[in-house]
Amino acid sequence: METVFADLSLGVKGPGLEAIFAYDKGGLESLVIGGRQQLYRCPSLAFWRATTDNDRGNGFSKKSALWMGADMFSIVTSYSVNVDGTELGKEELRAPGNNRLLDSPLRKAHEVSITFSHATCTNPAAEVRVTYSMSDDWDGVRVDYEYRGVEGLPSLPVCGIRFCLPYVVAGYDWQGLSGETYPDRLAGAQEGHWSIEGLPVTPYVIAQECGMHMGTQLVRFHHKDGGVLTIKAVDGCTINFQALPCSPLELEAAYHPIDLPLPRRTYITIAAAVRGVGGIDSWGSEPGPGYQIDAAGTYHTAFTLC
Amino acid sequence: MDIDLSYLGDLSRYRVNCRDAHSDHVHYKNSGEVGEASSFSTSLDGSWDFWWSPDIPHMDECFSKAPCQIAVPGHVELQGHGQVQYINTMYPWEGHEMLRPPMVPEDNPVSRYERAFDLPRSEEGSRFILRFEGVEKAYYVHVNGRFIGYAEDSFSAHEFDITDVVEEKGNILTVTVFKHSSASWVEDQDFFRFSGIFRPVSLIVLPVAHIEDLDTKSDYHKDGSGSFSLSLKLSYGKAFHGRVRWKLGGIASGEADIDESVSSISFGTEELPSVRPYSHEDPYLYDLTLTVEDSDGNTIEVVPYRIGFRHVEIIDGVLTYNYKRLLICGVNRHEWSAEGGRVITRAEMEADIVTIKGLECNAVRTCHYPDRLEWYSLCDEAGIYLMAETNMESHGSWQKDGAIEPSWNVPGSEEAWLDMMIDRCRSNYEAFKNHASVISWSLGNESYCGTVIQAMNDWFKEKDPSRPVHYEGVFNCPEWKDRVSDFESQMYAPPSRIRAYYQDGGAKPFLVCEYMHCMGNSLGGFTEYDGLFDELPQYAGGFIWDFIDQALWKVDEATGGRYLAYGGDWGEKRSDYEFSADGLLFADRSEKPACQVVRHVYGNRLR
Repeated sequence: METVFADLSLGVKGPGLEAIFAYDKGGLESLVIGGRQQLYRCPSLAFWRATTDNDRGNGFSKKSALWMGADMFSIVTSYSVNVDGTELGKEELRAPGNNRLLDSPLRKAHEVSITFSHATCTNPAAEVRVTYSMSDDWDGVRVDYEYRGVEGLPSLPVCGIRFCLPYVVAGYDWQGLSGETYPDRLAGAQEGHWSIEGLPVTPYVIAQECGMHMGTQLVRFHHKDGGVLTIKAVDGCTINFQALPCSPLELEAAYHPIDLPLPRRTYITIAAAVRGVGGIDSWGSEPGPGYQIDAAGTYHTAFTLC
Repeated sequence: MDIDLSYLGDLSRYRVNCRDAHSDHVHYKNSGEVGEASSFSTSLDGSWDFWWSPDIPHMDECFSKAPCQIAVPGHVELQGHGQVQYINTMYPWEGHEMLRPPMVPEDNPVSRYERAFDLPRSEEGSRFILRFEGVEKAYYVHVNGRFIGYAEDSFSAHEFDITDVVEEKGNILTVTVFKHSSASWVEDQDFFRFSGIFRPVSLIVLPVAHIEDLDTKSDYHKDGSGSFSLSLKLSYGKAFHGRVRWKLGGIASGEADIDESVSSISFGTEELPSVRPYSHEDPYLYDLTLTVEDSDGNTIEVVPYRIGFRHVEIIDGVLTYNYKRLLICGVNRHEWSAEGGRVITRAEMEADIVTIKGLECNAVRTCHYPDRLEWYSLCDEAGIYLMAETNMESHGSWQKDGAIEPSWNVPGSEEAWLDMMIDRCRSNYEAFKNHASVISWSLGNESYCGTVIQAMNDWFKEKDPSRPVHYEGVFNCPEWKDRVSDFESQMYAPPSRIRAYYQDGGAKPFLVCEYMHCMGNSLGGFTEYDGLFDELPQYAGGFIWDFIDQALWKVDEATGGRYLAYGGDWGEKRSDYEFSADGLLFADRSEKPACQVVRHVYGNRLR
């Protein structure tokens, strides 16, 4: 792999992909797979889900409103790079430190990883680490996401990372569970290979959180021209994914599905933890205690993009 | 036109010149017609002349103008007349008028419908009946300018005998419908508030001798035998001699001579050594055929009916069906169409049957009123048990913003409401008493409790000892529990409360008459209820809330696209917005993702 120690970015050119990590933006700024740009902006931390009717009824969104801000805004506190076992910090990576790397043997690497540490825009702040790793014998970027909670924060609507694709996928197919699944609504989901045409929003009369797929081994997003972006679980685990043509805040603001902006991009959330939907009633009952996300917990997910 | 407006606010005037409620059988001219349209029935549905007045003071002015056209059946609000409104527990006049029962709001739009009709060819001695299967909420019927009758109870069929006022040709039928009457206080269902003739209207010919009512009892015994009894009510248009014959499949039959003095006949109980029981799994029905003949043996009318042998009983606090524990895996169903509101088509009903079977549900509660007549026969054929609910809901009279506040409440213990509420029980019972699918009578929904509701309970118990009576509202009035409802019925009780009922010594079958509120993205935790079947031998199951979102297609002005609109989208205040969209299905009858778990859990439980 070729590494590019640019003034504000780390570039990595690997087999079949090209990635640019922006120090100033604090994340994966560009990911070209199959000759196509896959990112509209850096991935963001996902902490909000559009209020469901049950969330509204039990007051969850009011109690957990600060996570809406945290979903919108988070702070990158530090970053570091590891190239074939050599740790590179901010001093080495940014100008003028990078001047020394122009002819470094690290420009040709077997393994590269970069970790961004985030503080949530909450008080107290929780920490989130996102590590992107590439190896010259892999065909993609591995993402390790870890949320490390603190006491004193309200229950989380969701906990994960969100990718915004600059195009609307023509459809997606996945290996995993049928239907839409939430931790308290898994029963009846069949293991198998499933597909959805287009990028629908489940048409609840009032737009809300929808479309979660838990227990997924692999999901492939299809470009209308035939390219594929694959997200694969690693280490024998599964992932939880959701693909929508709008952000949770756009969903939150829509009184009806027809109020949503015209689809222009694809928002893919990979959730390390998913809150249940509840269902006993719509005016007071929370999801069962095992189906809420304690903000003091630690949540991890890992997958590859290729 | 002679309209006595005092009826609207008079609790004793709910049924003026209506014929007695009777079984929902169809009579045919001969056996060849059976299964086709009856030539005794002429549909009056279609386009009628129409006038609309926003209130009573403007009636004369509005009704003197040229008419427009309106579709019957249909809600007037969905055809451009008056305000579409969805509101839950609050009365529809909330914030606009301060009223207490039985006051009638001033905001009371009036619809006048008119059409001409001729009489079909008929034999001497025939009688002519107008049948209205559903009109919201109070209406006066005139034919050729003469007052015929008045009725309330929006969801029960009413019939009026017009034999004495009709001519062979050119009759004018006028129906004047008021959106509100005193009955509005007990029709406060959580739904869209509509007005008008919303179910079919027909002109029925009764031949010279006619079976007015059939009352069958078809009990299944533990040893596989059965018993069957039949009672008939008869009416005549003139002097008559003939006979009535009946035949039940190949297993029983009988006959009796009749003349115009015989207004009722009871045939003795037939003991049948072996019958095939009716059930959800095997909805086997026997064909009952009744034939009325004149003294020369000519057929006067033929009445077919489908009979199921079954036995419902609460034994030691366990709800049983054919002597086995019955596990109710049910769903509440409002009648709904995103196109027509509560005006639904036969095709929509048939689609619902397929969906309900596909979701592995075995039972439907007809929340919160009697459904279209066809529905009960469709459920008989499909094997869907029905909790047949009476048209009553007065939620707004005792619960305010979620808190119980019964400082005033109807019907409560107010004697003035008694007769009209019993009449609603009678209409429900008489129409549907012969249906194999009906396993229980429900008094209505969320109306608190008092002597009137106890009387309704007693009325059903006396009329029909073969089916348990259900009423949830006593939950809020525990002092009535020993007198009202054969079930401990609660709504939205978490599993812990169901366990607690038995831990505290509860002895009735526990039914969650509404549970798992499927509003938006919901139905999490559904499996926890299923485990109660194994844990609690007296747990009877429940009915999911509910079957289909109540939302209506509307055109988006910004895009010209169509969308499913909900409360508030017509500018109405007050409204409870999307609270009526709680279905397993979206309003266009496509499935919500939550259906996956229902099919799995109910399917595993029942198979």
